[in-house]
Amino acid sequence: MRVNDIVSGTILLLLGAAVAAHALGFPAAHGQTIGPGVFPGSIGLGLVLAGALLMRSGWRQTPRAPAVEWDEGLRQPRFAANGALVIGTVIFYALAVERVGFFPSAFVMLAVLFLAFGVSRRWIAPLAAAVTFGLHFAFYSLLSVPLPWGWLERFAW
Amino acid sequence: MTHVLEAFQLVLDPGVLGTVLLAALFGLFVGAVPGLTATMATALLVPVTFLMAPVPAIACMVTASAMAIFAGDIPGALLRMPGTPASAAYCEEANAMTRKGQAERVLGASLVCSVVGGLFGIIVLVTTAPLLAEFALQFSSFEYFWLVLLGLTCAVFIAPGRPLKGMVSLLIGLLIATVGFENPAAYPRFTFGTEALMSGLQLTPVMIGMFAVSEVIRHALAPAGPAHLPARGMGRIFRGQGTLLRQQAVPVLRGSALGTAIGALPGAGADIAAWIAYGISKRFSRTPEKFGTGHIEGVVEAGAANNSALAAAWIPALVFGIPGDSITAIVIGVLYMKGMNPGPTLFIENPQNIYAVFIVFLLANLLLLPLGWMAIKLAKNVLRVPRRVLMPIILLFCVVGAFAINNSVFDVGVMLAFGLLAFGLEANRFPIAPTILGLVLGGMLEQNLVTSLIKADGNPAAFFARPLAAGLGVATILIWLSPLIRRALRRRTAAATVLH
Repeated sequence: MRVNDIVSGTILLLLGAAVAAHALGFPAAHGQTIGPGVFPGSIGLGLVLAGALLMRSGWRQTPRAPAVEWDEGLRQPRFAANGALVIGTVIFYALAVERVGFFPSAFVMLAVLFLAFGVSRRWIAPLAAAVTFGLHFAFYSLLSVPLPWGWLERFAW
Repeated sequence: MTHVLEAFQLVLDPGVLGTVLLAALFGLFVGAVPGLTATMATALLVPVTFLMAPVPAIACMVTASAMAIFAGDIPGALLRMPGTPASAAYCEEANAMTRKGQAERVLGASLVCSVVGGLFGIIVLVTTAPLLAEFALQFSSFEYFWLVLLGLTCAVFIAPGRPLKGMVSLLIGLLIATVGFENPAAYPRFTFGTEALMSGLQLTPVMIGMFAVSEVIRHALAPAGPAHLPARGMGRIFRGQGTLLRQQAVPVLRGSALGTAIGALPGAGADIAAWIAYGISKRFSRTPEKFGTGHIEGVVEAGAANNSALAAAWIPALVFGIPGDSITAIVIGVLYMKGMNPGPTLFIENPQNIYAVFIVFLLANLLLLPLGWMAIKLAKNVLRVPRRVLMPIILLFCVVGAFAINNSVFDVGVMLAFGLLAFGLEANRFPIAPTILGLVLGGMLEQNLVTSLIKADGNPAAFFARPLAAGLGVATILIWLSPLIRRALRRRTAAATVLH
């Protein structure tokens, strides 16, 4: 998704103003002339200035770019769905892994993405299983990362 | 001398050598697949190095990044798709040579020149870094403040694209760096009452998100078609390379020197070095008309430049803790995690570790010859691995890696959020490197600014009172004013033309 300079400038200007206003509220540090708000406050003002300059260049641009332009991928339902699935599977993994465990969550995540990206169906299950076991071995056995077992706690090694 | 021997012992440990070999293969693979960059290889290695001792951890990153920068040339030459952004400058040229049936000649030359450039950069790193470190011991907060600001300024003004957009990226990075209570006043800022944000945002999930997850999202939205590889197999790669190196000695050395200089500048890395070296090669060539038709001169010069820049980027990173490029920005995070805090004192307190890093650099570049040869021979098999299979695996790797740092699901969320942010920024042509540099250097900038302001006691002239601080300060201010100066000069020239 592409936005023109007026839109991105406005967003940055508002963000900068919010940051600066919030930073102003930070209390002064004891015995110091420079409070914790000075640095973020300056960044906020910098963003306001940069946002204003971007807006100005957007106004001056001829012909003016449309406010929002969708990428080719986002206009095609299949690719847009794939993009949403990338985000969705990460959220699914984050929510499921503690309860369900690494093996089922990782397997489902991989299988769904392989299917969406067009990997041949007969390869999906063996590939997803092999990668899941491989990553588990690398992180859990070699690097001692405590990947959760979840439902498979009984089989934990 | 004992430190050097200790360093050799650290590196020549079978475990470390095995790690270096595995990291080399990983780097070659990631570099050779278009869309997967050397920076991504380094970011993905962070969680893997988490439980390693400092030397193998750094060895992993040095080796993988050196291999990836060379391997990026392989799809550049064979498919006209640069494997990493550092190969983009000359990928048209290299591919034109492949179309003329000279694939092995151009890839062999790329390999040999990468090694020469890499070795050149290492020699400069080894000779200058300790001297600079001794010099840097005299630096006060004023010098450090200006040095960090100069580094960030270079990142904004040297990066391709509009400086205004670079500045926005930098400010976003600096803003993110302010989250948490690790600031001079120890006041929790922008934490929104969440405990997870108290210690600030972890660098690793942010890096993995920005350099790897964003790429997976991009692939999902616009998948690349299958690779069309040349049908012919690879001939003898090293045949005639000695003669070529002698003929092209000037461009290779000029590229290496230029790459080293650009790499050592904070904020500019291998990709910018390659673009500038290619341009200079054309400018000074006796046969500039041959550029673009499959001419080796630009390829060898830029190929040497990107590898020498990689080593030189470590100079400011190790001596001042100021990254030379995105890769060293990630490495600095790892150095802190390993208790090897970068800065001049590192050279005094832990010289054996620094020497070990130098030895690993040398080893990685020497290993590049046989392993690079193997990668070129196996290129077709590597390039045939479909990205629809790779991308989901990379995503799972990212998720597990982000989780591994603190065993926290919150970091997975941070990774995803930054993946989306980087995707949005890049889609709107905001460069990513200044954000990362701002994020890594934000704390240091604020710390030195606050210390300097307290020391100055309200007198701004104190920032320019010491000669070196004054020099750095003036240089920084001049770079910021350069667009205004250029515009004023242009107006004056235009007015003069009208008058005539």
